[in-house]
Amino acid sequence: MSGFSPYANLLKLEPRIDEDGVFRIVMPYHEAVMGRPGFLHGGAIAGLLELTAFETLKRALGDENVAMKPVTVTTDFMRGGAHRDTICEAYIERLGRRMANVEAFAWQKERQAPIAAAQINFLLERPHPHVSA
Amino acid sequence: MTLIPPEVLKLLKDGFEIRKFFELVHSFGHGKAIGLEFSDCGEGWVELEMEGRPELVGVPEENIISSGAMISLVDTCAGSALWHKLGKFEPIVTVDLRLDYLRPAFAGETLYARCECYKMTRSIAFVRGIVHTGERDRPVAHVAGTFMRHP
Repeated sequence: MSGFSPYANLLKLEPRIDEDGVFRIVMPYHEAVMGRPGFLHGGAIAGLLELTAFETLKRALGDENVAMKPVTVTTDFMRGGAHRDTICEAYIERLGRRMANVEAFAWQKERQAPIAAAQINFLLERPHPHVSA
Repeated sequence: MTLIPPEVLKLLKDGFEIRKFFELVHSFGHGKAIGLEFSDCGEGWVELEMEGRPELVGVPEENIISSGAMISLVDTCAGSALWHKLGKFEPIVTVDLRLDYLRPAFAGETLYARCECYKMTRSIAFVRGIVHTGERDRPVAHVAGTFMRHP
């Protein structure tokens, strides 16, 4: 998809809006996301989590002029990822003026059984409104 | 739960040899896609490198390398530090991995992850490290992670 970064394209990430109106990103299984034989690479899963958090926050902000910079990313790996599609969704815990706290989680078979989750804290840099021409 | 290919089984038998291991890592899957290479190692630590290629960019407007690619580099480096310390290959899984981003890294730079396994128990290994672009006193990120042994 255009508008996605080269790294997201390398992972072949596919954004979608499901029938429940929720924005999700799918990472199909392919060779470039393979880790140890039989499993997805943890780094590819982390890439999916991060991009989903980023895109979900971008949609919530609705302002292209706000720069979103990840400050800390903590990833928990809970289950091995199998050779199949991985679905990811993010939840904005707090959207402040300068910081946003976002949690993303990814699953394969069941949403209730996530394979990984990430807590990402973004620094928000908003354009200065008081600059006069 | 682990399917171990014959090449890795051989490494397991011979003891962990990091250079041989990386010939394997960069020959398939995600390691090949992002171009992971061995750089250096010492007592308990391993350094890997990754060229900041255009396809690893996360913020195209500013040519910033994606943090996802950096996490892949760090995850592999941290696990390798553990095997290197053990002197043998054994199944492990990442429990958690935290990166603090101190500054951006740009396409065209070479990224290095340097991780040290500083504590190992029967079940858990603790790893810390940095990501840098050639100057270790000006790191891009700080790293902390834990791994479970014999998952």
